[in-house]
Amino acid sequence: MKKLYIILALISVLGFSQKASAQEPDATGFIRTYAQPGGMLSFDWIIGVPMGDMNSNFISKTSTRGFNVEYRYFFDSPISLGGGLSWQGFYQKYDRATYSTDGIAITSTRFNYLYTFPIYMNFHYYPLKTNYVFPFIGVNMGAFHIDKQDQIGRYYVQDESWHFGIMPEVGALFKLDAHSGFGITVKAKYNYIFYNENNYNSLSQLNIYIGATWIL
Amino acid sequence: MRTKINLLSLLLVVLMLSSCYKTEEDATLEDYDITLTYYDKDFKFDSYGTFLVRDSVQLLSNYLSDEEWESFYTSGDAGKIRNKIISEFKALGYTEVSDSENPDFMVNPVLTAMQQTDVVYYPGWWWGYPGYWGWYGGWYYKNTNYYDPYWGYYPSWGASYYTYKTGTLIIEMADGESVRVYRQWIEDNGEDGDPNDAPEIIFNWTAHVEGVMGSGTTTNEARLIFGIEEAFNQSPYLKK
Repeated sequence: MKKLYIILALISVLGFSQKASAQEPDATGFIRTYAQPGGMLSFDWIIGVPMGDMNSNFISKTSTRGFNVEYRYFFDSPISLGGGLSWQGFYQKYDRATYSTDGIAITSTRFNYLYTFPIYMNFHYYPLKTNYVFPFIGVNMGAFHIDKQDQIGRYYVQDESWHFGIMPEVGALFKLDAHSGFGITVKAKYNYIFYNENNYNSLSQLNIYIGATWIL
Repeated sequence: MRTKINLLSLLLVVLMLSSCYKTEEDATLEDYDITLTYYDKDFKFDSYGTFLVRDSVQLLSNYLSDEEWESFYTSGDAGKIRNKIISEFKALGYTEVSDSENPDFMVNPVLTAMQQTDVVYYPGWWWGYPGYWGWYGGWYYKNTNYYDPYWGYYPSWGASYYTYKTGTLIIEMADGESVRVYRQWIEDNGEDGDPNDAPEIIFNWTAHVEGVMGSGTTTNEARLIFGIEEAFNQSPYLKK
């Protein structure tokens, strides 16, 4: 509940600050932010699709459990620099089956879990300027905390560790009102986590982000 | 317009937050049942022809009352387990014989019923780990709240204690000749013999059927019998 109050307070502060700084908006909307250094804050919900080794060896099920917070600072050019953090949970249950190896066989249900917690820097370029749509391409990189669990029956093996990861990105910011400082962001990032353990070369996901963005 | 947009943004944030409260997991007690077998890969099981299953199932427990202990044998539970094992070996083509007929292998079923208490600690939410309120619970909870009907659950500030009972049936297939050599050694040395010098009993196949016990005796028994079947299904090399 406390958490909710904080979020509500944050939202109202953001809302008011917007009104307070309501100088006559120019027709260029976001373009203004390129010329006058400022920032952009986004809160996103993440849908994650496992790819590569992760998909074939561990979890193939799409995750809808994820959120992201990121900030971008605009320079006097169509580029921004910033950073963010996110959290994502992947889970898949495999029906009761028998697994055999070298003189041993085991029959049970498997549960695979992966929780990722990246803290990253980002860089973006905005090729087009319109009043309502602001497409961008970018790259993010940083440290990913991994909590990976392989469970069979009620026993599990857990690996908690930090890994480097890179996330190329493409997306766009949509403004419903050219004069407002609020927009909806839709973007896709390809998360590539360098994870060279056991039979994995990487843990990767294609993530779709849908979020709310405020120009500060 | 601005009000509308702010409402929309609020809705988005609330949607994101509510997704953190997801706690359900699609796990049942049976999902945690494990059947495990291991065997000597170099051994030719078709060299065996006759067998004997020990006269009763050995019971080991740290919580059963004397009455429960006795009831395990008198109610027929022990007999059901023993008979199931016998019928599985017969179905594979082996012949049941008596001890005096020197069986090729001897089977020892042991059931352990254990009660244990564990504690889980939940880190405070201000520590900042996302999803503490149950989302992350995907695994903190995995040994607890699904079993509410089976064990007590005592939440206190930041920590939970819970007890649960597990049952494990171990089926050991011992080489008959090695057992006879061992028995002879016991006879020759009595209680004075150095256990380190005792001849080794050879186990060519071992099965473990394990699960967390539920509240229903009949269900537990059915799971155990099903587990015995799984153990034999896992081991096609036993077939004569």
